[in-house]
Amino acid sequence: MAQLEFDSEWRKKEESLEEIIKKYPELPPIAILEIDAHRRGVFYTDKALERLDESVHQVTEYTLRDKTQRKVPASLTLRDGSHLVVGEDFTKTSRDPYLVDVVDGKIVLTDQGKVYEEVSYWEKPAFFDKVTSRGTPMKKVIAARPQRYSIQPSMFCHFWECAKDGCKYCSYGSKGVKYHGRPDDLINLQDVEETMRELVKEPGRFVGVILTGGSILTGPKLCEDELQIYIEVLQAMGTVFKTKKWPSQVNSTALDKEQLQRLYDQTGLTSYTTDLEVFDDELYKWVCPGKAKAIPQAEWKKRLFDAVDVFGKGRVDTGLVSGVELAKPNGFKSEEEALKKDFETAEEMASHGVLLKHDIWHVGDNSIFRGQLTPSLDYYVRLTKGLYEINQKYGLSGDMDSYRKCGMHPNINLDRI
Amino acid sequence: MSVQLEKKIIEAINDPASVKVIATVSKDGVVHVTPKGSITVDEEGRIRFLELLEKSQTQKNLVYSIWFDKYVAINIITADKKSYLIKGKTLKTVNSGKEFQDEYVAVQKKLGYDIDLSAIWFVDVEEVSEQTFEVRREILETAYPYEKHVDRFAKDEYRFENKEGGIRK
Repeated sequence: MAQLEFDSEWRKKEESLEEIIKKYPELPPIAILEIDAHRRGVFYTDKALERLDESVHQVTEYTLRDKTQRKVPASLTLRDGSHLVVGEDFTKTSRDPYLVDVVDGKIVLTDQGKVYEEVSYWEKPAFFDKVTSRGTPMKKVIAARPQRYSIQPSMFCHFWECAKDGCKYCSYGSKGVKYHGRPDDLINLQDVEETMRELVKEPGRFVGVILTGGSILTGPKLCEDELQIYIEVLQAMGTVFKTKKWPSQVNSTALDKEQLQRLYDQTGLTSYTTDLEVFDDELYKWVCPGKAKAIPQAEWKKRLFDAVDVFGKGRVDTGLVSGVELAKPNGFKSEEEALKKDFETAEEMASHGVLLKHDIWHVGDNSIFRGQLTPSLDYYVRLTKGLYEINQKYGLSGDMDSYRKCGMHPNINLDRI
Repeated sequence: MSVQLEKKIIEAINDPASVKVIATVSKDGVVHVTPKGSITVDEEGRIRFLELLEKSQTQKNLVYSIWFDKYVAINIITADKKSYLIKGKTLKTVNSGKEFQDEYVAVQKKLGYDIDLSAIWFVDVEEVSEQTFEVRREILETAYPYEKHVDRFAKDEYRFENKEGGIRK
C-alpha cells in the first residue's frame, strides 16, 4: 500500500473543530479538542522544545525520515487534568497536526495560529533514573503516564509468526516483534519486584497499572503461557502491596473462564480487558486474521461475558480501534454504516455488563494499514457520544479505565461529571 | 474577566480561622455547597484549593464548571463575622506532577497517611462582594429606600410595643 500523500485541501473536505463544537453543545469543547488532537497528532515548535527539561519531563526520542534524531515531550496534560496520549513520533501527516507552541509565556496547543488550550508536559517518575541490581534501567521495566504505570510482560506476538496474520493496524508486531525463545523475550521478575519497590516510594504518583503485550498462543491449552506470564508478573508486583487486591488491569488475549478464574484468584488483579478491536465479525476476520483464526469473534465475546462473572460488572471492558472499520478496501463504505454496526455490537456487549471504550486509530508507518486516512472528527464525536450513552444506559461506570488510568478513551473520560 | 483581590480580602481568605465554603452546580443544575478549608489565594491572585475525594460531587461539579465554563461561588466568613462572596470560573486543575505530589505529601502529613488527594483546583476570580449583613443592608436599603415594611416609617408613638415594654426602633 502506497504512503498517503499529505492532502493540503483536507480542511475543505471536513467540518472544522469549531463547527463540530457548535454541533455538539452537550459535549465539552475541551473533550472534542482532545479527540481531534488524538486524531491529527501534535508537533512541537522550537520554542516549545526549549521548555523541555530532561531532568523533569518524560522524553521520547525518535528518528525522523531524514535520519536526524529528535527529542520531544512524551505527551501532554490539559487544563482539565486529562492526559493526551499522543506522541509526535506517531503523528501522521495526512492532516496537519496541532502545533505545541509557547505564547505569552505559556505552553499551548495551537492550530493555524489560534491558541486552543494551555498544556503541560508529562513529568517522569523518580524511578526512571534508577537501575535494578541486574543493571536494567527501571524505565525499561515499567513505563509511565502521569497517573498510571504499565508493564509489558512479553516482547512478542504469535500472530506475527505467520505473515499476514497480524492485526493490520498494529505497528509493533509488524516490526518483527516475535518470540525467539530467548530469556530476555520475557520481562525479568526480579527487575519487576525491584522497580515496584522504588515505584511505591513515590507518594501521590500513580493510581493504577495496566499489563499488556502481544498474544502468546502456546501452552497446554490456548494462551496458557500468556496467562502464566501475567500471573507471575502480577505476583511479583503484589509483593510490595499489603492488600490482596490493588488497582490493576490486564489487557490480554481473550482467556477462557477457567483461566480467568485462576488469573483473578492467584493475583491482586482487579479488572480485565480483552479488546474486540473491530465490532463487525466479517471485518474482524479481515483486520485481525490471526485473532479470528485462534478465537472467532463469537467465542471472544463469550469470554468477555465470562470475565464479567469473574471480575464483576464494570470491572471488564472491551475496545475498538476506532476508524479501522472504515479502512479500505473492505471496510464500511460510509461512516453512518460503521456507526450503526458499532452501536449494535456495543449494545450487545454492554447488556452483558461489559464496559465499552474506543481508542482513536493512529495510522502507523509500520502497519499494514499504513497510508490510510482516519475518519472525520464528526465520526469520532458521534462514536464517543454513542458509547458513553450506552455505558450510561446499562449502568456501567468507567472507573477501571478512567481518564487517570488511561486517557485514551474519550467516551470514558466523559464519566467525570 | 479576572479581578484583583484587595489585601483585606486576601488576608480573610488566607486566614485559617475563616470559615470557607464553595458552591458548585451539577450537570443536572443541582446546587451543592460544601466546606472547603483549604481555600487560599496563590501568588498570581487565583483562588487555590484541594479536593481530596476523586468521586465527590464537588469534584464532578468542578469538572462540569471547567468543561462548560460555569461559575462557582465561594463564601469566606471571618472570625469577626465579616462575609465575602467570590464568584469565578475554574481555570485549571492539577492532578499530577511535582506541584501535586508536594501537596499530596503535605495533606498526608496534616491529615494522616490514609488520606488521599484527588486534585488541586484554581479559580479565576471575576467578582467579589462583601456579604456582611450590616454592609449589605446599608447598600440595599439605600438603593431601595421604599422596599421596607410600613411600620418602620411610622412615628415612634405609633410603633409596635415589644415584650420588654419598650418601643422598637
